[in-house]
Amino acid sequence: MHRTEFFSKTLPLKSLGSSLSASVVFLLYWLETATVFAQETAEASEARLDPLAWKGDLALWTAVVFLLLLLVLSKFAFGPIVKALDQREKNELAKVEATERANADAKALLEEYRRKLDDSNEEARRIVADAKKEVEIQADAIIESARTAAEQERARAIKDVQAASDAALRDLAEKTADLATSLAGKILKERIDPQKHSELVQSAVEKMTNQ
Amino acid sequence: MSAELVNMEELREHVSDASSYHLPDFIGHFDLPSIGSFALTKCMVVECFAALLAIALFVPLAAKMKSGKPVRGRLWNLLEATLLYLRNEVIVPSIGKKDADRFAPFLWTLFFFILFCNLAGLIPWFGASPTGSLATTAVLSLFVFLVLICSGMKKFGIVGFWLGQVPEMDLPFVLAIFLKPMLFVIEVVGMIIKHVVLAVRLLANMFAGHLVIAVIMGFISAVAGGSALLWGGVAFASVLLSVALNMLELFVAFLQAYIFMFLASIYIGMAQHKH
Repeated sequence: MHRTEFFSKTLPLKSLGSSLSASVVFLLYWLETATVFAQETAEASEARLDPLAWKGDLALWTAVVFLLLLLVLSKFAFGPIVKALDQREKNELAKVEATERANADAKALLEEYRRKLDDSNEEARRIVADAKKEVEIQADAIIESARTAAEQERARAIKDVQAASDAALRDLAEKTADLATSLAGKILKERIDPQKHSELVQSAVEKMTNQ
Repeated sequence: MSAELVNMEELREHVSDASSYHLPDFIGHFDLPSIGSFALTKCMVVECFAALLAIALFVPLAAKMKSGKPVRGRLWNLLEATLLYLRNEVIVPSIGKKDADRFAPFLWTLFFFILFCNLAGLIPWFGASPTGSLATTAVLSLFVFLVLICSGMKKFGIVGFWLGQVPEMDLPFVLAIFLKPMLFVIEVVGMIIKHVVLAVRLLANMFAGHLVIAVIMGFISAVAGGSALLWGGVAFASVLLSVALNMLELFVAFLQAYIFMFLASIYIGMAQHKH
């Protein structure tokens, strides 16, 4: 915005032309007031009631009081306050930066943990899958080995049974032969009556049975 | 009729500067001291009061803010919030962040000095608004003018600052010879007028407010000789109206201090930038 335009909006004076005329009016008025000021001693009480009357002593007093106030406040109040505000602003900025940094760190950390968690899940899944596979393999192996062992055991049992049966048969045959031989010898040695013959046969059968 | 005039005169004395305090009759009147031809007036006392009040408020506030932590307590927060508002919403936008803090103490002092003077003028018996007098407002305006010129010349150099008052225009040389000096005069006179208006605006607002209240209260004495009914009615209405106007005056006290400081920061800000 141009200056003239700006002031025409912010000040009550609409244009520079009216500003000029206003300034002339004011200058004239001040000249008149200055004249009055020269005669002020005679009309002191009247001058006090005129807002535009120039009171030199009050102006001087105001200048001194204001300058002293400005000096004191700049030195002991507003100067330190401006510094404090600057310091606070710096602190706030530092805090904001630290917070942003912490936030970024936290995000990175979170991302890392998420990644680790995903990795762990993957690892766990892999471990479980491996374990399952392993278990299945082991189970198969155990079953296979059990089956083989059972087969072997069965074969051995059959073999043992066969061997025992063979041995028993062999033993029976031997015993039978011995008994037949012994019986035949006894029959041959003694003439026996039917009763005796029957007892001998019975005895031989019982012997065989017991053996 | 003469009794009425005396009463009006007395009322006007209450709102204008004087070298004596007119307190209620049971306390009495007393004159302010004077040294030779220099007489202490109510306005001068009010200015000292405003200055001391500002020191009493802001020096402890500065001590409390030194640590950089937010202050505690309603009063200190109120003061700090006001300072921050003026700095962040008025001074920085007008002058720019880079230069704002250099002028902030001056503009804060200006605001609070005017505000306290305006407010002190509303205190019964004690008050006579120094800001209702041209001597005060003109001096304050003069300080703004001096700050503007000195800071501008410091930034752009003496020649640079004054030449910078003429807006840059692509004019033919012959035209520029005539137009630029004229523009320079217009701009410089405009600058002076701005500051005169700054002084008169504050003065007119404060003086007019006090005068209107005095006139309204004066109605009571003006009808004092008439019927009791009329007097009672006028007195009742006048008191109500003056209470309402005093509330308005409270608002105006803040508003005018703000406007003065706001315009001062805009003028100073304009001197910090070429146009």
